[in-house]
Formats: sequence, structure tokens, C-alpha cells
Amino acid sequence: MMYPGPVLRLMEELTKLPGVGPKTAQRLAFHLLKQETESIQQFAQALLAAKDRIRHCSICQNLTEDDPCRLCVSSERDQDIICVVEEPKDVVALERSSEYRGLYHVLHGAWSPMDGVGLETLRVKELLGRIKAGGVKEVIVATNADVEGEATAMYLARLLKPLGVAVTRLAHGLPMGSELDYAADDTIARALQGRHEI
Amino acid sequence: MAYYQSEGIVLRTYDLGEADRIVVILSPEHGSIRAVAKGVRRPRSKLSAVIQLFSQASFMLYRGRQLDTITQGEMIEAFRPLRLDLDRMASAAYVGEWAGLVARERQLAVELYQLVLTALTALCHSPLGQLDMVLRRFEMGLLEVSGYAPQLRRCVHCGQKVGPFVFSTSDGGIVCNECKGTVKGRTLRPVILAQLQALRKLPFSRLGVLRIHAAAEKEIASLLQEFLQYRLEFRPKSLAALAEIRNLKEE
Repeated sequence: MMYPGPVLRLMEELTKLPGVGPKTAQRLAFHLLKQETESIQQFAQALLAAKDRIRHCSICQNLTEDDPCRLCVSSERDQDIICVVEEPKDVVALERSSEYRGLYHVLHGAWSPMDGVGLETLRVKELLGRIKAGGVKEVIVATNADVEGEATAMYLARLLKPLGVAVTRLAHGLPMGSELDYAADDTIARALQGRHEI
Repeated sequence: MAYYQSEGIVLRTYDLGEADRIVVILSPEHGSIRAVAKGVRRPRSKLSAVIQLFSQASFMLYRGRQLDTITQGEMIEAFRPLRLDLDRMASAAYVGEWAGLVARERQLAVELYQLVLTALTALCHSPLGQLDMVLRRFEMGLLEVSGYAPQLRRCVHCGQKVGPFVFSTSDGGIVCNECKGTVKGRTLRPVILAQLQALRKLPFSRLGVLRIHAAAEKEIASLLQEFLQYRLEFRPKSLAALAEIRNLKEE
């Protein structure tokens, strides 16, 4: 049996979302159709508002409602240190730690040769512009600890060091609660390099 | 046989859902395997190390209808030097991209696996100045494995063994002056032909004996890449990354 036109269209739109196949789209569509009209209106308004009001901060490239974002204009943040992350969610993770008081820069991806993601695709030009403008002493590269993240870190180090800033990398080691037996050789090697006195 | 065990090299990973990844593994017995590694984006995952790009590991998998599931993994070789150097990494990405294209699902890939393994090992341990030659040797090996090795000993039309020759991508190798006719080909200097022949025979570990000028190296690279792309109808995205790294060095 064919679904009525509007239901088909809803399913088509849902399958455009990452990780949503036809079966999931069908399940989601029926779930949405069961909701009260008011609830659906709120959902649609939330989508439109997010798309309409959220933009990239012209300085750090993070998602923001106001440009520049509140982190970039805050007088309480150290202005001479920039932490470079892959995605906006990484800023949230670092802020959760309450340990870092500097500025951020979001690349919106990682250097990934096989996906065709290079310098042009990432927000690297904007980072270079910030450093060339002066006042930055250190860049902390906090990209993910996977191969793409490591490659991005090496890329940035090669690019930024000639500009006279210190380029540092987040420490690597054993995650809390992990078992040594299951740790990768690479992780153990880096944990040994980064050992400290207790 | 729901569970099976296989050695393999990780060629690609894609994020899936909240914390999972789809992993593309090149296996000698099963060719290209697409499997889900559950929870590997969480820091405490026991599988996250073995599914890193280019890791060689022994995997235990559960056969699924569309995707298999990785249940266990034991690292054999992490190819750590690849992760510590951008040039080695970009070169490995080029190797991985071609291997992913040529490998077929559920088909034996013993020769391709051995070629990729040897190429990655060479990319780890060769001097930085020799990485391009490793890639050329890999390209030559890939052409052989996929059944498109160019004819470099005699004219593809008449079998003439004495030059001069041109190299014709569309005809699949060297063409002598008599047969050249309207064939579109690039002029092949004897020295380039000799180096191409040597490149086909030499094992990766002995590439250091080849003494090739930068200009000749460029000529060989351009010829092999054009031939590969013509035969396999694919242009690797990682070529752009390799060029990007080269530009960064020159700047």
C-alpha cells in the first residue's frame, strides 16, 4: 500500500538525516503523526529558529546566536591562548572540565585525505588570520586522539610554528577506568612518555 | 558460520550513530569487510585501538545480513611511524584509498593484502625522500594485482623488443615506431623505460638502489597515475592531500 503524499514527503525528508534509513524514517514519521499539533508546531519552530538564528562566530567559528560569541568577547578569558578543536561539541566538552580559561577555534572537521577534507575545507585560514593579527602566544591542538586528529595536529604544527607561536597538544594516556591490558601500544607508549611523579 | 576470525588492515572508518563506527577492513581471505565496531568512540572502548586507520589486527567478527560486527580484536601491527609523520600518513592514505577501491567484498584478496602490507611497512621505514618511490612501486603492484600491468618489454602490437617506443595508456603499454601510426602516446626515453621495468621487479625493501632524478621521478609518477586512473576509472581524493603537503613543504 502506498502512503499518502504528505507522509511520503515527510519520510523522504527524514531519510536525509544522517543514519536514518527508510525503516527508521517510517518509524519516526508515524511517531510524529501521533503527536499533538502543538507539539509538532514547537518542533518545527525549534528547527526553523535554530537554522535562522544560529551562525558561525566570525572569530572562533563556533556556533553562536550573537557574533562575536560570548566566549570571544568575554574579558575573563585569556586572550593569548587558543584551543583548536574539531567540532562545536568539543568546546562544550572542554568547558565542562572548567580547567581551561582561554579562547577557542573550531575547525569543523579534521584533515582527512581520503574524504577530500583538506586545508581549504577546514577553517584554517581564519585561524591563521587570528594568529597573524598578533597577541597569541600558544595554540593548544585539541583534535581527537585518532589518526585523522593526529594528522590534523601535525598539519597545524607545521603551518603555525613558523609564525612564532608555541603549538602544544593535549596529553595522551590511559583513560580513567581503563585496563592496561586493552590499551593500544601507541597509548601505552605515549602514557610512558607523559609520566609524572606522584 | 555466524562467527569467523580474520586478519585484516583497517582501510576506512565512518561514524555511525552515537558512539559506533563502520570499519572497512581488507582481509586476505574475505577481501573487503564492512563491519560495525560498537561503542568505539567512547574513551574506554576495548576495540578503539585496533580499528584505527591502517592498524593490522586479528579480528573476531559476527556475520550480519548487511554489515558484520567486530566482537574482538588483537593488534598485530599498529604502523606507528605513519601516525607520527604527515608525509607518511598522507602517502598511506593514498595506498588505503586505492586498496579500498580494488578490494571486492567476500572475495580472496591475498595478493592485494600482501601488497598493501608491504607498502605500509615500507612507508613506515623508508627515508622521507623515498616515499614517492614507494608509492610508484605500490602503483605498479596494484596494476599487476588488478590485472592491468602495462606491457613494458615489447610492443603491444607487434612484439618488437627494440625501441624507440612511445607509451600508450589506451593500448596498455609500449608501442614501437612502426606500429605507432595514429596511436596517442607519450614519448618514452630509454632511461624512463628502464626505470619502469626496474620498478616492476624490485621489492619495496630494495627501492633505495634506484637512482632517479627528480624530473624522471615526476615523469614516471605522471605516467603511472594517468595509466591507473584510466584503467580503474578513479581519481583518488588523497592526491589533493599529497599535493597540499608538498606545497606546505615548499612554502
